[in-house]
Amino acid sequence: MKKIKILLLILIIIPLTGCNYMELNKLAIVSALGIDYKDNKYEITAQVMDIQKTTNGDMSQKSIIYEAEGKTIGKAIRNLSEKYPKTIYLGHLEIIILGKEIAEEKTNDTFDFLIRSPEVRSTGNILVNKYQSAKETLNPKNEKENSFATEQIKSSLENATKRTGTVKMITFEEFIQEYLQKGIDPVIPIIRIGKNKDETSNTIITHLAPLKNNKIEKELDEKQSIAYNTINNNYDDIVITPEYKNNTIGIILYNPKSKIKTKIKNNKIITNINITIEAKANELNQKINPNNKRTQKELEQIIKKELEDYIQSLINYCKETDSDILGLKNIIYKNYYKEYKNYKNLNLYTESNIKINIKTKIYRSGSINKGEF
Amino acid sequence: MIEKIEQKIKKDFKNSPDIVFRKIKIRNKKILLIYNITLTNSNNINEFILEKLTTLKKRITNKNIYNHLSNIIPENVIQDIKDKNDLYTKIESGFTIVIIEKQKPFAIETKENLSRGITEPLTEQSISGPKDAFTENYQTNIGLIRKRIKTNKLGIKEKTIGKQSKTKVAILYMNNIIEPNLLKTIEEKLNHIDIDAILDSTYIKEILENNQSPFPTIITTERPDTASISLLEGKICILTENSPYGLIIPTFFSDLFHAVEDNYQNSINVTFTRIIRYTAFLIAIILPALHVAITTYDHEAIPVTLLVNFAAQREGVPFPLIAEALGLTLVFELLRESDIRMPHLSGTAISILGAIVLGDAAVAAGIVSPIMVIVIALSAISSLMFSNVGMVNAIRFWRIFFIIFAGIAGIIGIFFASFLLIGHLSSLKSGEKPYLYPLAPFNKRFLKEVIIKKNIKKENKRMPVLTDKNYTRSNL
Repeated sequence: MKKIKILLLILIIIPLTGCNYMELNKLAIVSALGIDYKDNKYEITAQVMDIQKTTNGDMSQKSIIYEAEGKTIGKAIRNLSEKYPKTIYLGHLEIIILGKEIAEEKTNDTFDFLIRSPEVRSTGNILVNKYQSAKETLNPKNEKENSFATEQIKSSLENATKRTGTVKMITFEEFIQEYLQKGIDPVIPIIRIGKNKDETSNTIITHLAPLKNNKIEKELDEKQSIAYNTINNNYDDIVITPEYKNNTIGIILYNPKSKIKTKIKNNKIITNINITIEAKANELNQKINPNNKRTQKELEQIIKKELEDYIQSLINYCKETDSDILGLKNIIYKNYYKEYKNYKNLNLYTESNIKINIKTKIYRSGSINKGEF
Repeated sequence: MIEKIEQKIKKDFKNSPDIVFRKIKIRNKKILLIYNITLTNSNNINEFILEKLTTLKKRITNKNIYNHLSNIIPENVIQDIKDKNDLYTKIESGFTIVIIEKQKPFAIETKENLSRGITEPLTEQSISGPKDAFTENYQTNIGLIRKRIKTNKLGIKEKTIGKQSKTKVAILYMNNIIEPNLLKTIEEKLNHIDIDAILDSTYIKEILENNQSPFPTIITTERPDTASISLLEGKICILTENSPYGLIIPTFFSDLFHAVEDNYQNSINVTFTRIIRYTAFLIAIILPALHVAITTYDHEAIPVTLLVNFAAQREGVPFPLIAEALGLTLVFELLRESDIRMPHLSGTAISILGAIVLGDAAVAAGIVSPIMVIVIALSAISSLMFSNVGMVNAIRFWRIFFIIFAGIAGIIGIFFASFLLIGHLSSLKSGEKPYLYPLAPFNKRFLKEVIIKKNIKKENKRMPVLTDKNYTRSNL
């Protein structure tokens, strides 16, 4: 009886296995996936990691480009198998790049596949190329083997998020969470290929762009991206370069603590953007003493003005394109559920009264006290 | 009369060549000495018997020689004979039987010391601490423990087990600590042993364990200090004649993670080593299974760089991964077994073969992947960390079990096997005490104590499961 019980238990676990048995050497591990849409067909460009053992035991790393097309994305991925020997494996997808045509009309369909398919890893980073195709981004020289630096792109994305504040490193999972919420237009970092003077190409991660109504909107500029990241507390420390006494100075901003409050009073929307941020002097380039209280006040005023400027620019962008990057509608949806439908189709940035309150303090003046130069 | 007895005994021993019959005549009295030449010491025969008998005065010879001798020879050396069976047992235990005409026969102990001297422990070596070990001599072994615990509270119960071997078995315990029930159960179990011969303490171990677990539920030790420590904790130590290993009952699972060294080292370092031992146990059991599960089912669970690395190493290996894992485990076991059996001189050849054939050639030939060699070797090394052979074998059993389950169902299979392992361990009992104590039944204080070694001053309580009196250590 005991033996039968154990046998039954073993039988039970067999259908429990979620994944299929698959030997590692039969997998084509896709590190980057590009999706394009052309002539009513999806084009898939997959960069497959391929490490070959040479006879003396060394390993040579290569990336091979797999390409296929199909009526749907899933079909296109299956079609890859017709041409290549190994099974496509998306469980370690690091980067998903959406091409120009997708950005213009097919984002919803793409996300439907990416969310629905359990094979796709949800912690990969998502990027959009608004200007070129994804195929071109992944494989600019149109080679069979290339070395699209997936890891480098990931780490430069991470660094830029932390240290310049112009992009936001967003995993597919985080992006989808924002995407599925009501009243918020999620942003995606933009990638593109720049041509150098000597005809070599160069991958550049630029700024952010919101996704609205199945379409990637106009790209934010640097100031607007910084404003977005400040309000969402995304970076560690960044440098801004305001003017002070006819000289460009460098100020490091760090530790942003921001919050948006939206209230409805007498059918009027009042929005407060409260930002508390710490600053330190980075380059002063003139003979001033940052420890002097008056100078400090002046510097703080300048930082405030600069940041206000950035945020105003972001608000203007929102007014212009009617996209709700900061998620004001989402706040209303959460706090004033009944009134939400009245505001659903309005542009809150033109309707509401937006106040920007910035508190800043210079805590450190750098390693020298007085400006010597 | 004497000739008659001689004939009878000769017949009963089937003219065995090592039984010696020696007839002497002292002051006109015929005396017959019977002894086994392989078990007796001729010096003893000379000293105790021949010398004493020849110097006897006539007055005494006519009367009772036995009475006279028992006055001048220590009592345990001279014994009287109860019946025929006793006589034969005495001959086979190294006594010399003295049969004098018209007088009561008696036996005098003339045993040859057939055992080796006290040597250093071979399997439970330690850097610090005492360096003596049990030997095959029963009395010496008891003496080694008596030497350490000099109190009349050390109780010894002796039994003779084995119909042919008549082996002496001693149960040692501390009168003032032991739980009477534990002693009673063990005694009863020993009383009911019905067996031909007990040739080693492992015979008793196997009878007392009486379960089908690969894990050792009774520890064997060759160190009198370990035995003494266990006695003072309230455990029982069983010593067997002709066996250099004592048994310790009850044994808890956590005891397998403690080495002799732990008692004699800095407590902080001991804690660190113990944590390493627990980790080694997990590595030894789970690592190969985890490797199989991750590389065949759950590719998502590891970072991509590692995955690519694994995939590249698997390139061109002809066997499925699980076959590779089981095959390499088998090869390791072959090496280990042959290394243990081989005399030391040819042992080197095995190491060279193992290192070259497996470490290098197999990988170069593309039969196995290097990462699999690393995984199996790592788990094997981790299992060899335990000095208890039973533990190493139990780990081997469960390692293969885990690999098979990982091959069937990936990480879910590993979880399933873990449930079985935990269920199995918690169903075990050692001397009627729960094997997983102090984890289950839970005792916070002692769970801490089996992992973190405190200063010896602070380890002043005994486990309540082992004793109901004298809970505090120093207070006896």
